Amino acid sequence: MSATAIHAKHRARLQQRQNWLWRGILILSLCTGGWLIRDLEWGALWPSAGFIAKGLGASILLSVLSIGLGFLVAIPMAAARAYGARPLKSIAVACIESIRCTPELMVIFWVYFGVPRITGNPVDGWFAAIFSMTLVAAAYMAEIIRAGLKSVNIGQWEAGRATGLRDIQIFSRIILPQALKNMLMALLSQSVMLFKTTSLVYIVGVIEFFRAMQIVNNRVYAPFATYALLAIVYFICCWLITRLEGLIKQHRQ
Amino acid sequence: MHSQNLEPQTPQGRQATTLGSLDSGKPSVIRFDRVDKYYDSFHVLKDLNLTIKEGEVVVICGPSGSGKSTLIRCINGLETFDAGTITVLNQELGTTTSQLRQIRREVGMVFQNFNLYPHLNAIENITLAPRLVKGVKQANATARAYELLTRVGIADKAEQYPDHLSGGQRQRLAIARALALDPKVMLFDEPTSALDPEMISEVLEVIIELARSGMTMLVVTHEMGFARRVADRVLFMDKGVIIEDSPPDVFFNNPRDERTQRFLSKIMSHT
Repeated sequence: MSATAIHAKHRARLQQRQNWLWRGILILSLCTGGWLIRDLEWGALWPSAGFIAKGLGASILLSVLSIGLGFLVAIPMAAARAYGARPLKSIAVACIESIRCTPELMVIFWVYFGVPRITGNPVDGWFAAIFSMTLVAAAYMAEIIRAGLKSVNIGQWEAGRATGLRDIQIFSRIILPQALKNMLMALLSQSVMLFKTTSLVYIVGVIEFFRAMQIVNNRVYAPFATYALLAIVYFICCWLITRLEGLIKQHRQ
Repeated sequence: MHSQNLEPQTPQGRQATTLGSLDSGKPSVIRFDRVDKYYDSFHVLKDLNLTIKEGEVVVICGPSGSGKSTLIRCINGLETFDAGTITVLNQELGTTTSQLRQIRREVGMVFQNFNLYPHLNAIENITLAPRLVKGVKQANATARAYELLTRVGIADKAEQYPDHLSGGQRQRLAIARALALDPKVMLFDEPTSALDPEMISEVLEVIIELARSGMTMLVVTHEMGFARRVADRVLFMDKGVIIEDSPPDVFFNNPRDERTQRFLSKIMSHT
């Protein structure tokens, strides 16, 4: 073997040893953490496990729906603001900024009380929750996507036009894929934020994870255990969302 | 939309050129008539007149800012113009967008910075336009793409993405992509200016082969050796005006204008 190959192998072994070291430290920390919280009142929480799980399911469902629908709505909004003629662009700006500049709680209220005034029928909590969270997701994601669209080299437009492609074809086949790839991390960060924001829908009566934990705590009074579990579950969910980036990249190859 | 037939007709019914040069009988493919273009207040094309006939290989050179890139970008509508008319393949530019798209199907362009689609591999880069613009089936488009990749010499890179290719390979892929729609005219905007010197010749060889196959071509370049080998006419542009328009032997050995001589001496001095 050449000198460089030996050197590379040596370095790889060092790296492997380092990886095991970090894994060891992580497991040690988790064990220490587990030992420190063993005294908390887990027994009090256990009977309510089903109720808590239902709340978590509601949070996840609400997040997936609102992030997914919001993303789909965000794309034409971003395109309208980035490429639209004056009137269309102004409408897009108005929509995006009115939602972004409003506290999320107010958006939920506006939907819950505003939609019945328009349609005449009352709306239930879930409808208001999904609708308002979708609007919030769309507004924030539209800005991220717009940044992504602007980040694509104008030469890509020229190459597409020079071969006779229509603008909509260039946008959907050439520009948008590159924009989303550039903005993937930002979009996932935004998704984490949106997941946490869904906890606000308790205000219209939806029992999601945070509210479920509050109800359980009010009944059995085990605050440390409650909020420790809350922190752990939220952390796991948010961490999983950020791991999605690796999955998406792998799926592409 | 067909241009008005204002020129005197020869007995065979073909159009005579506006510059009064010998009519070879070939139809005019590109014609600039008194074209003006401004970038805000900067007059970049000044009362430009130019005729290019079928099968001609025309090289345009000149200092930067002379308007040569703007000139060829006007041909496929990537730049607009403010006065005069441009006629490409018997269609006058500037009427409708669908007409412009029709012209762009017949005119291929190769850019200085390649402008390849980074998220698609070589075959996909080539087949995208034929599939979407002409409705060619995937299988046929892929077969044709392989033919083109072989023609430009990178058939082994068919599944590779552009960022895995060298500069010379990327530009050859860009040429293959431009040829995918079977254009009647090819425009080259400084195709080798962004390449490392050792890769320039592989790209020029492809362009020369294309020229020898009879393609009508307009090449903006500083590669004078290439111009000497393959050009039918060499144009020198300065400040928005075509100063010189001659066959290569006249252009290089006996240029008519003193500004051409000065430009040539500047770029020949370090080749």
